Amino acid sequence: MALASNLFMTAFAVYYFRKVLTAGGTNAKQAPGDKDDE
Amino acid sequence: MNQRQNKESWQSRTGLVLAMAGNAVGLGNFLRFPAKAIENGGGSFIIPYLVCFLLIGLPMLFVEWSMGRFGGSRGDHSTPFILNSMGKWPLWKYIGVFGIFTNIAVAAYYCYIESWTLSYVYHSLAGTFQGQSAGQVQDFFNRNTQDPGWPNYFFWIICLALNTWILSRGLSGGVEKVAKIGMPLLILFGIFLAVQGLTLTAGSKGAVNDGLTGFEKLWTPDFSSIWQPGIWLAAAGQIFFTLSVGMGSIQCYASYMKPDDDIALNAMSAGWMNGFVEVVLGGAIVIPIAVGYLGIEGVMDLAGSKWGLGFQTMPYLFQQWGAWLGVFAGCAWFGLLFFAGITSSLAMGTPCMGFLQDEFGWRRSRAALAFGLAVFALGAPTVIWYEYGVFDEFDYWAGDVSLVVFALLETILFAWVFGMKKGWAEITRGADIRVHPAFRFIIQYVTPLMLLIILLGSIGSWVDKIGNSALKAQIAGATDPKTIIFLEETLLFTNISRIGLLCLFAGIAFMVYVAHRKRLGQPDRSGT
Repeated sequence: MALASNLFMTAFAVYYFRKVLTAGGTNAKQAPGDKDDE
Repeated sequence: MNQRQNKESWQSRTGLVLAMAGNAVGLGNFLRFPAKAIENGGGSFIIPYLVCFLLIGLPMLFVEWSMGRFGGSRGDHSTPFILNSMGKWPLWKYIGVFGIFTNIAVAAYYCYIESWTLSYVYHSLAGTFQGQSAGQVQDFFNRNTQDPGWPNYFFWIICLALNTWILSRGLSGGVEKVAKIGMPLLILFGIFLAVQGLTLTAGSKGAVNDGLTGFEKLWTPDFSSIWQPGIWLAAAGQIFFTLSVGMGSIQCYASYMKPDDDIALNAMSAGWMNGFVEVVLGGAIVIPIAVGYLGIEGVMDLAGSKWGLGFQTMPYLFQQWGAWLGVFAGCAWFGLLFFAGITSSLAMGTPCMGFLQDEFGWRRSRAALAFGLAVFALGAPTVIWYEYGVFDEFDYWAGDVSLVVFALLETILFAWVFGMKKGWAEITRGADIRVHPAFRFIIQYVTPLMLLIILLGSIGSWVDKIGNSALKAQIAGATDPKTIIFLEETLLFTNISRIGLLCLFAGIAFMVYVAHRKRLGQPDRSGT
């Protein structure tokens, strides 16, 4: 149970985070004024 | 458009996912999960935990990310007006008040726990615990929380000031930078401590058990208990607590995305990363190390204490590893908890700030200061009158009850009022992964039903709590005059805490009303 649970959670976490890293895209509003808000 | 254009944004996708994961990863991952697991059937707890993760956790993440991105595309960055834009009923915006109220009320006591971690990093470095017995380390914790002195206030103020300053730097310049530094450090510290815990051997460094003994205790399944409703309620509660759903902070973070940005993969990644930190790292540190030194019975005695295990035992146990390793392990453990705490408390500040910036045109620094002052004013009673249960009262109503109520209402809004057809289109638009169609059915039927069951299952305890039945029974059974006075004072402070929380909710609702009236006066902004 310990091995299965730990491997299961690790595998999914690594799988999806790798996909985020390789999917590309900034996924952010391009707001040039962001840092000049003050 | 808004009073003042809200120019916040995320700088990178990785930063957004780490900030979302940081929002979810909190003190509960390391302190609450192992205690809950060991109390509720050990290894078999993971089965209801995973089922609840799939049927409540992930669907709620999809719903909240979608709501946030939808609201953001209309210039709304806090739940009152995000909900208002999704349903025609005028009261939705007041239900959205939960999404600001919960964050401020939870931050009020959460920042105090966060300050303990900061103070314990200092005490680990200063060698305060060197030479202390297990009892002295426990006394140190109890004394400092029951009767806080100036060092507690000092670290609490530092913590509040740090949160306020980071929030005033904005999303990309503050929150995202902290997440990019804090999350990798947290995982590195976690791996270091997990390796130390699992390689602990009986007879070495004063340990009485192998580290693996505790690990096996945590993971040995007790299948006889798996059909008990209480275990399922505990698992559902843990999923709520750990993923920060039902708070309003996820919607706020997601509202700063572009309308066609992916949310499906981002939500999955943040959710599973939180699961990894909780199950893999959270399960491999406290219990193995504590069982190694205290034995299984000693740990079971302390498992019922929500925060105790991490603060009352670990400093003593680390001392057994020698001076240098003990200091490093203390800094790693409490540093890890600090990063887990601050990435969550920062997320609690953004909905309040988004609301003030959107609706009243406040500058970021002014909005951050307002949040800091509100947390200071509300947090002071939880610090000063901790022993009278003010802290626990805030934790119960804001940290437990509000989450369930808001989660149920927002799921009904999303699936049944906004409509699942539009909702599903929101979830899948721009998705970098295929979202399994089963989630459409789950979000529409299963998640609301499970949330309703949790809510109905909790109503009995709410009624008991409101009636103060446990406290009144204690007063009736007490004979010592000092104890009676203490319990009566506790009753008084408990009621004052509730009035304070109600006033906070009413105050935010009034501000929402004012903002709504202001919107009605703006020709290009719908106020309905």
